[in-house]
Amino acid sequence: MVLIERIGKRAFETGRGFSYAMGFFFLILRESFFYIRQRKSRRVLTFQILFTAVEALPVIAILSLGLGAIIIIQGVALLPQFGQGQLVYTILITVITRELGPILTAFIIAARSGTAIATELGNMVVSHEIEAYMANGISPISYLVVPRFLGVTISLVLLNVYFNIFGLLGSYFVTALLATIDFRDYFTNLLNALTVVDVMVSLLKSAVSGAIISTVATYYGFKVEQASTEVPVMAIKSVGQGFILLITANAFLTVMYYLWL
Amino acid sequence: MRVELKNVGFTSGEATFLEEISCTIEEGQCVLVMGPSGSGKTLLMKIMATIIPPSSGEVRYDGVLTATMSDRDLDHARLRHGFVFQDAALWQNLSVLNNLTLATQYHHPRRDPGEVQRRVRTLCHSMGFTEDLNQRPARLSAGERKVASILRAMMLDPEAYFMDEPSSGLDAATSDRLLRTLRDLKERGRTLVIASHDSEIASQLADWILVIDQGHLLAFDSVQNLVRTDDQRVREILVDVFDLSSTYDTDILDILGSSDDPFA
Repeated sequence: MVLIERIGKRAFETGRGFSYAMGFFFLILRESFFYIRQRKSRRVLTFQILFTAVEALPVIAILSLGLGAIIIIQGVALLPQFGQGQLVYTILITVITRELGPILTAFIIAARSGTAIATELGNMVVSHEIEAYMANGISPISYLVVPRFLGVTISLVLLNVYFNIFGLLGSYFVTALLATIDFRDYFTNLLNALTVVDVMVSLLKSAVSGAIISTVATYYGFKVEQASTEVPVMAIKSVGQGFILLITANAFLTVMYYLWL
Repeated sequence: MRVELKNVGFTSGEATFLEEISCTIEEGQCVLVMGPSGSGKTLLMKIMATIIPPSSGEVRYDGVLTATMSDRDLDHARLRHGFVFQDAALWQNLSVLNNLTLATQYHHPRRDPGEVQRRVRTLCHSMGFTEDLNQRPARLSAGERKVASILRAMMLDPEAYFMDEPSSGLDAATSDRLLRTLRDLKERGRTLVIASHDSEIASQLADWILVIDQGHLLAFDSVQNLVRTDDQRVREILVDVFDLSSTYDTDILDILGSSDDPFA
């Protein structure tokens, strides 16, 4: 009986938490609309893009260069043995543009900026700074959450494009040091394999991932109640929950892609 | 600004922090909120200021129920009052100057920056705040942070003020300036709700006193009536909060009795 009671209580709390999170998300969407329309100060948004996108460029560059180079080297070495040498370009587009670009940039930003956002907001709750915003008639959702939501989403889309540029183009130069690949052939074949749908799916995945990371991070930041010891706990939860949602959303969009296109 | 509380309660989980609190604070009135530590003064002030919504009961500003206001209307209603937090609650990622000007910049983005700067200088001068405004709040002492918090609340010249222990941590000279500032606000018809154990504020400013203990409203009455109360618990609390060891009648009457003429 106690076990059933516990399961029921847990299910009830999960359901309540989910509905609260959905309400929070729709509140962010509504305030984002007003934020864009009202053209208020973009200072916080600019700083968020700077922190999320610009400061993550070196990590993303190294990761995408290495990954692109590995795929090309392995593809060029293995695929011709099966008479499928041309497939290397399709694989590059599938792996880098459609799958790994969006998810890997999202993982990096979730671990980096997601944690920072949850920690910053959590500390602001503890020191009553959030209440101070409210007392001054400044909505914390409008002033703190929306710029982070838009900043992370815009940053993630831009970083995905950057990841693709380095992964597809930059990796060519890395590979050219190790093997002879004709520059013109490489880009012609690559562009032939790349479709508008691939680009759209990739950008959509990034935008969804950005929305997930920022919403989860701000949600857990605001879940801190009064003690500073809650801050790292919520930051860890935001990363864990963020990763789960990112994988689920990306898998869902991939399935949708194969079902509909 | 008239603030009305009706049967306000606040619970969290199993614990009850405030229960059935009703009171009406008239425009231009100065109400002193008193009670022992942990009695619920800060929570009550935050509920009055609509920073925290009550679990039960209602809060009305000028007769308008705040619970039915839209988010935008609520933000605008909050602009009608200033709030001074017990721990100052300055925004740590902003300079002191930005702490003072953020609300103005946010709500009045087209206001002349020169006018805003003049307002900052005037307020700083009135409170004797001479610190470098470009530094972060972390570099200020606790008393300076409290003064900056008071200045922030005054920036938009609101109709009402909620001040949680505004004089704690201030030196004698700054306390005097605070008292003068509060007196000036009262003369200009501002509503003041002050949680304080400061006998100077009590004697010179308070019109009404709200006594709270363990989340229960023990008394809400004019100073004149309260000094004659027979309620033993209220007497004990007033003696305790004023840190007096002798009898109620002599000392409390000495402190509060002068409020018949607060500007004497």
